[in-house]
Order: sequence, then C-alpha cells, then structure tokens
Amino acid sequence: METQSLQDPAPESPAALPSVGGAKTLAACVGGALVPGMGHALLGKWDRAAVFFCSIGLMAAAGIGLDGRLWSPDFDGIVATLKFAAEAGAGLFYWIPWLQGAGIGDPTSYTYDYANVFLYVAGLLNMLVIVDVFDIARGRKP
Amino acid sequence: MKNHFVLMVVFSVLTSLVIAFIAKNGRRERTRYFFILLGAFVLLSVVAGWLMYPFPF
Repeated sequence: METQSLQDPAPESPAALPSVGGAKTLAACVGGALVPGMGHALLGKWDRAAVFFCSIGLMAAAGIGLDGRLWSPDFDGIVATLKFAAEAGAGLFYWIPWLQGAGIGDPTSYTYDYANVFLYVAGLLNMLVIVDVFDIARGRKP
Repeated sequence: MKNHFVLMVVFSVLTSLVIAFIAKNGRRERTRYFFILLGAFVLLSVVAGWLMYPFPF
C-alpha cells in the first residue's frame, strides 16, 4: 500500500518567475502611466492589457460623458490637488480631454457625482495597474 | 443613462474586472473573484442606500 507524503509541495519561488531588465521595467511603468494597459502589452500580457485599456478607458469616457469635471493642475487647495492627482492617474485618458477643453463639469447635472467618481476611480485603478506592471517586470508575480 | 442603479452596476462591473485581473491568475480564479466582488459591490451599495434612507440630508 502506497503512502502519500504529508509534506506540502514546495511553494513557488519568486526567483523562478522571469524578470526583465531595469530599462524595460521603467519603459513598461512609464508606458502604463501614459496609456492604461500599455505596460502589460510591453511585457506580453495581452489579455490584461486589453482588459485594463478597455475598462479604464470606458470609465474615463463615461465620467466625461456624464458631465464630470476634470480638475486642473492648479494645486488650489489640498482637496483639489488630490482630485487632480486621482484623475491624472489615468494618463492620456485624462490629459487628452483636458487639453481639448472637455470635462468642464456641470454640478447641476443629475449624474455629476457619479461621473466624478468614475473619473477618480479610473485614475486610481491605473495606479494599481502600474504597480502590477512593476511586480510582473521584477518577477514577483506571473 | 440617468439611472443611478445602472450606473452603479456599470461602475461595479468595470472596477471588479480590473481588480480581478490584478489580484488573481487563471481564468477560473478570476471569474470566481469577479463575481464575488461584483456581488459585494452591488449588495453592499443597496444595503448602504437603505441604511441612509432615514437621514434628513
């Protein structure tokens, strides 16, 4: 009668995961900061890249389309600065409409609050995505 | 699209999708985690809405 080993299988070592060089890590992080999903695309993670690009892009577009406000980088108070920082995390999805003059915001609109939440969360999620890119590039996760 | 519930569900779907892809690997794990997050978002939002209903502001 065979007996099974009671020992757990060895945990997957982080060193076993492939990592890329510093230059490619930097390029992936900067690319991800500019365009959501680009960092993953540079690392060959196409499924994640497509999901992040579409989801974050859709959130930013919905935020602008629903009368949300793109906060300008005028650093007029801590709250306005934090709102700008959160929205600017979406990269070009923030800067292109802002440069085009979109996202003026209409506080009387029925969807103004929702739209702003869409814009904030789009940027904040992209910050998480950049951290994910860094971890993948350094071989800390598959 | 001016229905708050629909907007909340759209927000929940997109956010859950991104977090599921960040936090989990493998289709099965991601799918399971996505639906857990989505359910938690929607359910807790409705519960919070009802809890705030008596507030005068």
